[in-house]
Amino acid sequence: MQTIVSLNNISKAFGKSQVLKDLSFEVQKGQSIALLGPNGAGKSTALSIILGLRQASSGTVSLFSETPGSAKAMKHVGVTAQNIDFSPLITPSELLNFAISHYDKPHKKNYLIETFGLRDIANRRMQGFSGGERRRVAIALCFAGNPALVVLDEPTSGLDAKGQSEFQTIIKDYIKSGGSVILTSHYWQEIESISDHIIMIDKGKTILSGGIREIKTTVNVNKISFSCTNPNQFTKKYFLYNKGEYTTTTSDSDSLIIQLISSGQKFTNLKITPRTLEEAINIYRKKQE
Amino acid sequence: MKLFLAHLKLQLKKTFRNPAFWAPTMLFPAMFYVFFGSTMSPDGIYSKFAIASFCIYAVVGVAFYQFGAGIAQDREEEFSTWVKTLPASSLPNSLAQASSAIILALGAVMLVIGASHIFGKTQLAFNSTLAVLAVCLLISIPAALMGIALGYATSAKAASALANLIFLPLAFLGGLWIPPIAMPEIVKSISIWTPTRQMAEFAWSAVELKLPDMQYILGLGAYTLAFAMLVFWLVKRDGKKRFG
Repeated sequence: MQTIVSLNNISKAFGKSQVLKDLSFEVQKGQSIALLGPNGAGKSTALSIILGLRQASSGTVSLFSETPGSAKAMKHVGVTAQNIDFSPLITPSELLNFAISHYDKPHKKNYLIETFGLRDIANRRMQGFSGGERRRVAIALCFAGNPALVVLDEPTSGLDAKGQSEFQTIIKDYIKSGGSVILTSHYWQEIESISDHIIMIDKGKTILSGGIREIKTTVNVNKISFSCTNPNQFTKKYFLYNKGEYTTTTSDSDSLIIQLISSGQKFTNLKITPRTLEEAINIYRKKQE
Repeated sequence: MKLFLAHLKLQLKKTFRNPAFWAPTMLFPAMFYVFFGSTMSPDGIYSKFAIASFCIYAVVGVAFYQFGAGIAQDREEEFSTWVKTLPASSLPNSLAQASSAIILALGAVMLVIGASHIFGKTQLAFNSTLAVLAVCLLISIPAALMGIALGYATSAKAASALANLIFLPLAFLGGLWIPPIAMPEIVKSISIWTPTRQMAEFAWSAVELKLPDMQYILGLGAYTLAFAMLVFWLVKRDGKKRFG
């Protein structure tokens, strides 16, 4: 595996405020990593350091074995910022020409226009563009240089459900073709759909790092719920009553359901729901603690 | 070269598609020349000085509004941060900004000279015109430094207001609107210390195809050095704040 991003014991302070503390992680070629954490956790600062927009107070960073921010490193990278603001006087087509001129092997402009759904707006000045239209332009610009790594900071905020789904398909195809992704997002479904690895940061420290499949397998917890009119002792002991349903969580759903049936409990609407990634992460963290 | 042209093209499109920005910067110097300079008596040198003065006014105006307000706005836009993630040094972008300002300034200066031919009672000789153009190029350095300092010292909202607040009094005090001889004594004594006066003295000397007095050569040199140091400090401070 080729390491394309490497952060070793990165710390960053703004005055007295310590934003990152000994943050370390690597991104391998073809890997898709989600950087997670609450607002102010240090995700954007970490991204800025990876891109060479900010300098770390201590620690070492490399991007494609080069200094972050250098032209040699950045020719492999596509970036979409969180709140990119475009001049209302420029058209997407002109911006794509501008971006393309910076790369050795860029995508063709027409490919970008078609792939990112810009055909109807490509030659319109961006005055009055909706948030979704601006977002699509930003994503197209990110891919203009045919990058080996894309850094996506909240890429789909402002996109409608259809736009989000189209975006996820594009990113999945990109990963299949060998591309790497660093993503920050508040949409769990998007994180699960795109990423294979998560790094959770809180107060500047890595509090969780692992593969999504690994986390879900380790947690392996399902939610079991059913409805009944006369709960027996077993139900009362192992299930909680909430909004007309008896629910519990278990890592061994088969065994619990056999015990439930053996106890003679009559029930309807039995549901076995796998835990969401968000719930799995919370349980995984509790287990680690 | 390819990157410089790409940045310049984008910069020029952003500038010239916004008439509210370029029209006052380009047209006002010529317009003010027509109102105030072209009416001067053709006897004596002052009517010719007026042409040179409004050329300087045009260059300083572009520096304040293109560099000052433009840089302040760029600093606050996420777009300029995104541009920094492209595989290029900051050189093509800086050169494109400077070139775009020079194109705008040259346009404004040519309009003043054109206006003097259409509306003026007197015109500059060909040699004097070339000398004034050379001075415009020379003073574009300290003028640009003043503009850059303004752009890095203030927010986008404050920059335009501050540019008006500094530029107009400086233009008046420097003798760009009325010749120093017509100024009240107190204004005259302040005038010789202003950067715009140093610039104007260069332009007026160029009209007569001679060098300015040593005090103005030293004065302009000192201002250039001081503004360069200020810009160096402000750019460093801004870099630390935004990208440190």
